[in-house]
Amino acid sequence: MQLTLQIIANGLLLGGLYALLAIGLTLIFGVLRVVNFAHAEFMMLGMFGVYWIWRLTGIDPYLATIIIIPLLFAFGLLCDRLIIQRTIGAPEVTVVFATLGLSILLQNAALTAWTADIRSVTTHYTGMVLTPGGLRISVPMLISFAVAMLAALGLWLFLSRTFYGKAIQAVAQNREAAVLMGINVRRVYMWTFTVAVTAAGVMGGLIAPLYSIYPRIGMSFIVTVFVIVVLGGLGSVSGAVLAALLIGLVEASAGYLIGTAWAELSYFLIFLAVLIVRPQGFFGRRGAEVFGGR
Amino acid sequence: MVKSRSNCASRALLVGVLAMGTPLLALGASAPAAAESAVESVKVGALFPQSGDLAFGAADALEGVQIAVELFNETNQHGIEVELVTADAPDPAGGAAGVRQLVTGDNVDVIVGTYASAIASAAAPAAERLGIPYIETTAFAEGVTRNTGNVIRTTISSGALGASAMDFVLTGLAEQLGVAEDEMRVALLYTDDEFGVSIAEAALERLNDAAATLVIEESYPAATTRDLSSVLLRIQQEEPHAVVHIAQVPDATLFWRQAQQLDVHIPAVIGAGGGYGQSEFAEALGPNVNGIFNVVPPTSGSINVEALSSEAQDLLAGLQSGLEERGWDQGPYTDWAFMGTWVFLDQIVPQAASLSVDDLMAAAAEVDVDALDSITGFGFKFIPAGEDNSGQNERAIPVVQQWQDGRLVVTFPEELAVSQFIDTPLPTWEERTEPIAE
Repeated sequence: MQLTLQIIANGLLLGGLYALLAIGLTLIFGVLRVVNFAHAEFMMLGMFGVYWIWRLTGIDPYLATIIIIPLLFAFGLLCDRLIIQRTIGAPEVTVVFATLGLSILLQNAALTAWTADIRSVTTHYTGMVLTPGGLRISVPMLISFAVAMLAALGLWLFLSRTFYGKAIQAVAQNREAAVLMGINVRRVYMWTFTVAVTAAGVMGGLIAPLYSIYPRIGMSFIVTVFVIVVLGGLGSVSGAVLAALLIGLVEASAGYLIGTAWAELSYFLIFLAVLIVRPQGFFGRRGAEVFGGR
Repeated sequence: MVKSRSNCASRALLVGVLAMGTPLLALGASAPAAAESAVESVKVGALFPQSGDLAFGAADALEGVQIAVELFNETNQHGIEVELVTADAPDPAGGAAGVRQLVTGDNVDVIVGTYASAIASAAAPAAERLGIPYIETTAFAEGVTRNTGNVIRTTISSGALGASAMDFVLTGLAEQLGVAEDEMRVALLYTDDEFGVSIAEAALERLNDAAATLVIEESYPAATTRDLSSVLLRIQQEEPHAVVHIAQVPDATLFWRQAQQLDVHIPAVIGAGGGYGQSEFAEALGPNVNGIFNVVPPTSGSINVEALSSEAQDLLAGLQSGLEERGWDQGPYTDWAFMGTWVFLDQIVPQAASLSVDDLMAAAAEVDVDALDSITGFGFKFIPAGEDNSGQNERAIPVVQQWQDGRLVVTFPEELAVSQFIDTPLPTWEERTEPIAE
């Protein structure tokens, strides 16, 4: 029983990490209809930002995460202005190549600036655990999980309870109608993209004490996060959180029961099964992938 | 727990080397004079990952090759001019493309590579198809020499590495832990790439001949693994005496961080090259790295260099001076790539009738460099063409290193050891007194 609970706890904590990355990605897709292949690279930049602040000044990684937020935000705005805005409404292949190109650019910029060296943030709480009921819960993982859940809750409240949030939803549902209602669609796009990639950078900061930091670290997350976004339903924040937790649980339990090598295969099988039964994912809308679709 | 040994380090290295039963030939001394060399110039293509996931360790290897070439040109003992061009090989497809670029675009005579087994396994056959000799200084995969006829490998093969790792578990480690071979419980964890699989296969082959029990065998994709808690929980359940872990830096670091989080105690963990030998792994773990083993060919950093010949010490000084001038670090791959390239240029090329595959393989078969004449502490003698595994350096013998005070030192076999075992078995997480923070 204890072992089962530990596997569930490990899976949920892992899912929490995925969730923070997935909610930003699903929001970008839901609102902008942009498949952001560069999303995990913003996470990588967040990791490097926190690493260098910690390394050069000794500032705690979590405090450093707060420090990098405005930097990530400004960089997100820049990317939006230079690249994303220009791809809105363009053929899908243009969008794909633009974000894929941004991904490659950021990876290679990091490689040039900081070399391929593998770096680590090691603090006194790197190995710290809480032991409720004999379970062992990693404190850094728990912090990441809590931030992800709070971010998802905050985003859900923002989207459903505020005027601006409803404007974002309106743009997501029907761009043309939103324009006719007087919503500044370009501004909605800009804020959505920038907030989402900032969230990815924040996730990078939060996981810096957990994972090694190198220019291609994003590659190890992005495929899983895309699976989560599609499984949860394109554009659905609550769907992304649910799917992230499910994937985390499947990965942890399949890894234990049938082997680590089978963990990825297991959640891909579940992914395919869900898509056969419900092609739009858990909470997605049919046709959500179409620009301006409903 | 510390094992008592009486042998002094330098004497041990000397004894070990002499036990190999080879005549001593100082590097350079055996080479023909400039007029005798049939080769006047050689254009070397250095093929290493300079971008992508593998660029991290490969940079050290490329730097080793660059300094070897510069040093060779500076001394110019044989009247041979060496020109070096480089190509990026981020992955296996890039390796094959890099070979084509070097051969057809840059017209190189020979290729030196490659750092990564998967890339070498694609690049070496590509070079063979073009009739170009391939000098492998750093990749371990068995097939690189076994499946080709154009490769001279100066470093160890995965077969020897995996067998040595398991051999240590069954002999030296079992003795240290006080566990009989038939009671020994072993877990094998490895990355599912060419590097991990080839070493694991050799380790399993050795284990199959022993009475020990394999309790866990697991592979995982190194590039996408973000969680090893599942296998750690299985390790906790199965209680192996030793885990042989073939990993890169990120997954090796993740393994240990999660082992600490889950309070999984493992009496001994043995890495086999890759991440376990990197200083970045030690930095990430802090004092907790001490006591972890790594099985690799030795390097100048893990042996007693004072026991080396004066020529080898001069060579090491030349390498270190070159690194210092450029502000580059010296890692294990620097040593292996430097020494492999040096042996090729200084020992093989001057004795070759031409730069053809056949002539270089014939010249390589005549090479006889003793361990004391090498900065890495292992010698060079290549299996002749026509024999099984031709081109492989049969004197590239792995040693067991252990992290002690944040650096790797040779601890096994006894005759080559420069230090005694520490923390074997490893302390439990509760017993570790030093904090993980720096």
